[in-house]
Amino acid sequence: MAPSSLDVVLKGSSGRNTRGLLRVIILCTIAAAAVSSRLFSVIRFESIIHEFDPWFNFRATKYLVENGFYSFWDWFDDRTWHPLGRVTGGTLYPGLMVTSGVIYHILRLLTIPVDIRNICVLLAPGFSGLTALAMYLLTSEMSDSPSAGLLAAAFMGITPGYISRSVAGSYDNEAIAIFLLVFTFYLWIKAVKNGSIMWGALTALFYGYMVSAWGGYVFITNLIPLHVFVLLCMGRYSTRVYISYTTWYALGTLGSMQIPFVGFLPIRNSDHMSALGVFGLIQLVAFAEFIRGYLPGKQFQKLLTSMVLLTFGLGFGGLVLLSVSGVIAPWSGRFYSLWDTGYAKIHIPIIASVSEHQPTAWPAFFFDLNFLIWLFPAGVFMCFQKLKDEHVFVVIYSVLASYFAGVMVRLMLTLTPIVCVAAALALSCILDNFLVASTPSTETKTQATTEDKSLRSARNPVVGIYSWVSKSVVVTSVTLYLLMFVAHCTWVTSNAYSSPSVVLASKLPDGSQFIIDDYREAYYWLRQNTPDNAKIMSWWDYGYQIGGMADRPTLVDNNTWNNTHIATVGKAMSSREEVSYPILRQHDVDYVLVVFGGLLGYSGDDLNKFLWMVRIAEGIWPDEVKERDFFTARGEYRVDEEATPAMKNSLMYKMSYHNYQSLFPAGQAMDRVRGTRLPKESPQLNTLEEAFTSENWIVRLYKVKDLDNLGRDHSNAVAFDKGLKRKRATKRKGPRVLRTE
Amino acid sequence: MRFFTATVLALLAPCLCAATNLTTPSRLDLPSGFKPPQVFKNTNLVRNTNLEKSYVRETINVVVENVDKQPQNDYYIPFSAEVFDRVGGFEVRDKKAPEKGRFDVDYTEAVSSDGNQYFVVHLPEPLAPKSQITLGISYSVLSSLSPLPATIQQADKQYLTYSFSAYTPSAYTTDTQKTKLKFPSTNVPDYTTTDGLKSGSDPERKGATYTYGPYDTAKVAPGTEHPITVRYEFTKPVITVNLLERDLEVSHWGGNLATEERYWLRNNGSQLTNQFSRVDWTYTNYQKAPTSAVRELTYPLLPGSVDPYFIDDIGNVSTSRYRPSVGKSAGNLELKPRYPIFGGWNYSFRIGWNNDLASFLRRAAGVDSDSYVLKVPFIEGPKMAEGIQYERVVVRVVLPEGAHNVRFEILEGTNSNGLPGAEHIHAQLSSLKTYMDTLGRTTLTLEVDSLTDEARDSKLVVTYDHSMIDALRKPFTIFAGLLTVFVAAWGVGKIDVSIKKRRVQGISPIDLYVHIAGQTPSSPVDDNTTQDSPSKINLSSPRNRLGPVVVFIARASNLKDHNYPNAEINSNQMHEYLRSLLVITVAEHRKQFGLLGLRPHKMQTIIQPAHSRVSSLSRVGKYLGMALEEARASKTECIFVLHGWDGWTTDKMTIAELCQQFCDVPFSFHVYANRGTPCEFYEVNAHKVNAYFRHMVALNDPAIVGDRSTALYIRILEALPTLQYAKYYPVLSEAEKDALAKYDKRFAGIYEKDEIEGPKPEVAKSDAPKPGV
Repeated sequence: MAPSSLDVVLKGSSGRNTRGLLRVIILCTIAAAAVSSRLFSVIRFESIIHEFDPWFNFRATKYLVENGFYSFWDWFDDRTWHPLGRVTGGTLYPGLMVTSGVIYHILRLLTIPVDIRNICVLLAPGFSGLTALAMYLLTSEMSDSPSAGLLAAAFMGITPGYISRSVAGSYDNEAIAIFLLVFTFYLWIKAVKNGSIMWGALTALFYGYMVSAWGGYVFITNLIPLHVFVLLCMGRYSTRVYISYTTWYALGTLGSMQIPFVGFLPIRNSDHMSALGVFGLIQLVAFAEFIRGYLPGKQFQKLLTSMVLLTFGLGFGGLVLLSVSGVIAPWSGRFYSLWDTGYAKIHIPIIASVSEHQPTAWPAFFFDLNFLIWLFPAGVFMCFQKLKDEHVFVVIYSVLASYFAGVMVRLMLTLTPIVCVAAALALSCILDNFLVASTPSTETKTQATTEDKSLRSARNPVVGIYSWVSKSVVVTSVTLYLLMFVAHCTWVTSNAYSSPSVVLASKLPDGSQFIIDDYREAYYWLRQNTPDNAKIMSWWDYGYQIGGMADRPTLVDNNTWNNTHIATVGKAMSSREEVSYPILRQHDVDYVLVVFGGLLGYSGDDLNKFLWMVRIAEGIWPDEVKERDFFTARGEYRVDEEATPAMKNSLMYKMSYHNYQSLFPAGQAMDRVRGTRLPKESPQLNTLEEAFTSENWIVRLYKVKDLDNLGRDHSNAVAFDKGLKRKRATKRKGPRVLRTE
Repeated sequence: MRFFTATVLALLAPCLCAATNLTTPSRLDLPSGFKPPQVFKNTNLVRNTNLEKSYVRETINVVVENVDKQPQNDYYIPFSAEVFDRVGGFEVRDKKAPEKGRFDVDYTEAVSSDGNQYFVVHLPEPLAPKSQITLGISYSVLSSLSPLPATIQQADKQYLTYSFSAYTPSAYTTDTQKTKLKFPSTNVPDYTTTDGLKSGSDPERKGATYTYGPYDTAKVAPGTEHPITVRYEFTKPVITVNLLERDLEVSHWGGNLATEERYWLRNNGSQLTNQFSRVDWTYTNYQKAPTSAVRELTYPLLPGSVDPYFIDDIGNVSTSRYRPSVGKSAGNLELKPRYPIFGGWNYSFRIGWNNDLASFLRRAAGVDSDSYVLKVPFIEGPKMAEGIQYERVVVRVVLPEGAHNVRFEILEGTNSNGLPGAEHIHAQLSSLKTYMDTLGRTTLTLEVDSLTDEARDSKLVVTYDHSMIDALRKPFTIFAGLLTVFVAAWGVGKIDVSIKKRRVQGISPIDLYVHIAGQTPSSPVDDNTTQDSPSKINLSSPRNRLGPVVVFIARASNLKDHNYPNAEINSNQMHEYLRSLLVITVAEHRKQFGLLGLRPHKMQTIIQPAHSRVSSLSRVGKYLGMALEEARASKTECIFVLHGWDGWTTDKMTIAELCQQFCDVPFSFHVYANRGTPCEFYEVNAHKVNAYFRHMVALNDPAIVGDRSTALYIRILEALPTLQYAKYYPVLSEAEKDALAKYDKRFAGIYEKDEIEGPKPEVAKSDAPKPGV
């Protein structure tokens, strides 16, 4: 090869600089791609907060920005969970809000006026760029090949498994938590490799940040001890492991206890006990190592055996004792549901009712990870081949995360990083071997002749791909796979994950986009035209959105901390008006909001969620609300003529179909979600009146009537207004009272 | 950064508030019991009341005569105190010469005795006694129409009532007067008919125009009232903007005029008797029936307006549509609120757009002048047939940073422009800090109460000075800011916060030979003089605080050695023996070198034949590799202290392999030559040994000649027969062979190959230096 001017750039120390520069440029490009691929929803719709939980986070962030950190910390929110209220400051992970708040104030300090909403919307894409960088760092620790890190960064940047939770507007804890997860792991690997206190402390610092940001920190809390435990079991104890683990555990635990919501959990909750146990164990191992240098083998063996037995016995006994006496909290329900997928459905319907807590379907893996999922085992296998400390980590992480991802859809998120690492390891190995332009044969031959006298093993082993055919076939197919991956990611992101779900899009016959904006229409109506403290009752799904967009107090919201309260709402929705009305009055409800998709065929409406309301209510009042009553004799869930009386009389049914029939010619009313023809007559609502219905009928608002001026029943009053003859009422039994049950 | 730039630029900044015409409207305080002096007489008065829009627009033409002896110039116009604040756009002109402009008007505080509040019109020239002047008085009264019935069904017609006095309120006696009412339609179900005020029917009806009067009121005392109420159909929304904030932002750099308007809107029409019914509304919409609700607002935009947006508190309102201007015609922004705004309902929103600045901004008088003239509409607002009333309007003109000498002016035409006189507009200057401003942008804020959409056509002219230095302030600020950041970063990078490495006693800096891939073998290796050795490791790096990784190794063989063919030693006993040797080695080593750092040292006993390979896959091999790995990770050196020259192995390949793998780790042996005399440690540089065996250096190379220990070590290794394992163990049992193969699977074949291959270089007992290649 003739020395060209390129050689000056590509070889020697300037070559290293060139490569470094290229790497930086590639990483920046990857970060840019990661950010921009998440902007579909902003471009297609607008800069808006998505879905449900983000609305709460957004509201909390606004509160933080407006009132300062300390009042945020002490925030008691009386506009949710009326009349209970919520100690919001102590029951949330503040990391996300504080991050946005800090960014906001930094920009303000630089006198760049950026709306806090835009910061919140763009936080997740921004952090996904950082995640790609962290992924590069993490993977570079695993492999010598420089391409592995870059590939992993690119995968992480665009894989749908991560994009699903980090598109612009998806302002949820996961937005920053995945970055923190990956970066904490990177720091941990660094710490284990170097055995340095500094890296260990940094790990603890980012672990603390992670704790403040996401409940999923427990994953780190258990994975790192498990890594250490496996290392110990493999006989790989070293001072490096000791230093890094003890530093991380001590500082990290202290840090995590600063978050009010976490508090003393790290030393009291079973979920955290493994970290504590391994901390104790590593002390013992260190002690044993120390003693081993001073004692002859036999005595040492005896000592070791007795010590192991003693410690195990003491530790186990202590754990049982503390668990029984209640000092250590038992495993939480969500934890059990991780191991037994049927657990939640039986014991905690409220957890089971959330779609993202359902077990993952197989296609979801391919949908979210595409070809990474079949590269993943190859990458893990390659880790087994080297099996240094960090590779052990990859193996453990893969096994655990694969299991969890199979149990719960949302935990796909924790699987994604390690899939990217493993896939990048595998793919970089393929590319490094097959993408070498020069054939290895000539080199080895010349070397063999010139260095005949060198040691055998010192000679270059004759390894390499000779055939251009195999090279080109492999490289082409890999390129194809990569291209398909990009196409798939773009398609998935654009079609599946970029809908704000507050705004629905549909296509008009002429192909132009038609935006269905019913939610905001109704919420804004509430915000503008109702008293500031009008209480809104709705199913808990919409609590956060009402709080965020309508700015009105709600009875229940997505922070499902009080099951009884939610069951009360469920009962009000699923009971007859005569039962519901007192409940509404007792809870000062002014408006009731229901979501009805019958006109448009919007399947996520309240009637489809209705059975969950019934189930949750039944959990508290099994005598009054019975799921069986809502099914016909043949076990069907029907809303048409043949619906059960319980169904037809339930408040939810009445509110959904109130006045709906009048839109259609007589007897033609159709419910497009359930695909059935409805009864001729609209259900009669007595205690509520329609206050507002959005353009496509998705959101319907009802005002709770005040007590009748003349002291009549509402049903009588309505009948009177309609000019019906008053039925000879059966004799009144005593004074009219509010029914309380 | 801000502090720095602020202090520098404060020196350059001219005084902000030089010479302006800012006004704060004040009201005259009248004494209690004040009565306007009866110096005038209204000879004829005609009042035109226009009810076509959702507010009342009145024009009064009155012939005024001075009945006093002195020339007079203050004409008082009374309003009751409740109405006074809702009177907007008050203007008085000479009806005969409207082009002369409006007369100065003072506002007064309420007079406590009779609850009247006055506009005091100052005639430009005092009116001489007995002479007359015709005044054209025009104003609008906001929120004076009330719906009756107050609540209606959703599809019902809406009716408004208006109450006024048949006698026009005046401070002076009026000879004759009449009032003309103009209704939006002929549907006027109720109106007051007067008795005895005039002959004939009163009012006279002519289409949608009703006329009360003329009345002969020369004898009627001023202030006498005769209430009249009319009720008429108005099935249109009564659009009331409680507050309009309008921001105009001038950017010289961007050549852009950005407009943003924030509306707090309310429909003051009849409220709904029942709640809103979507079904009814769908039918109403389908039939395009008139309604009292706001369906849509049409907002004409000036030609050249781009990037319009329509948002409210919770984001974009997706129902809007923009029809951009074509050529000179105005664009149209069709704003459809999220929901129809019925009576009593509110809706707040904001809209904004951009314009090219060039069509609004001129340099005043000459190209080099620093003075600019900005001419923009005072308000724009939607254009609706039913009209819009604004209770309060705040217009904010954000001028470029450093603009000074700000003046404003409202253009006057021959007709009323719907605005009060400039002196009744509350104006103030402030500074607004945004987008990396240092001083803040000069902001002119104008506040007016009670406006109607008649003011749409009024123009606001703002003049200001803005020099080149002002324009360059921001680039300079950003430059200075970035420079500060870079300098700070550079400075921080210069600070050495590392804790200095402790000097290890008794150990000389290790001569390091590093094998770099691609380095030509013929290049002389002299690391003491080669300065540009790229991978030379800085041992004083802060990571090396714990000191080197020290591994003490003692080795023995428990295979049947050729020397001890019948030896049978229990391997445990052998380990014990070797451990005792290590204890001695540790003690001796410490005597010689002291404690090497704080890192705990390691001990390893190896049972392995002398010349056999230590495979990297074997337990021992991994152990050694881990030690080196640790040294690499903590950027320190790794020292293997060997008990005896064959302390771990005498196989060259083992060293070569380890060296190759860890070519970046300073890697040396301290050989405790206990069997020779004197008992001393030889410091051997493993990399040099490696380099020698790879034929990269010759034995006579200065790097090796100068290093006695290394040279000695090489010689000893050379002297030992290598890779001839089979020769010395001709009777290897099958079990031993298996063990060996398992032990060293990867290289098991090599031994045999080496034997078969050509002649070995005669190395035994040879002191001759190997020639370098």
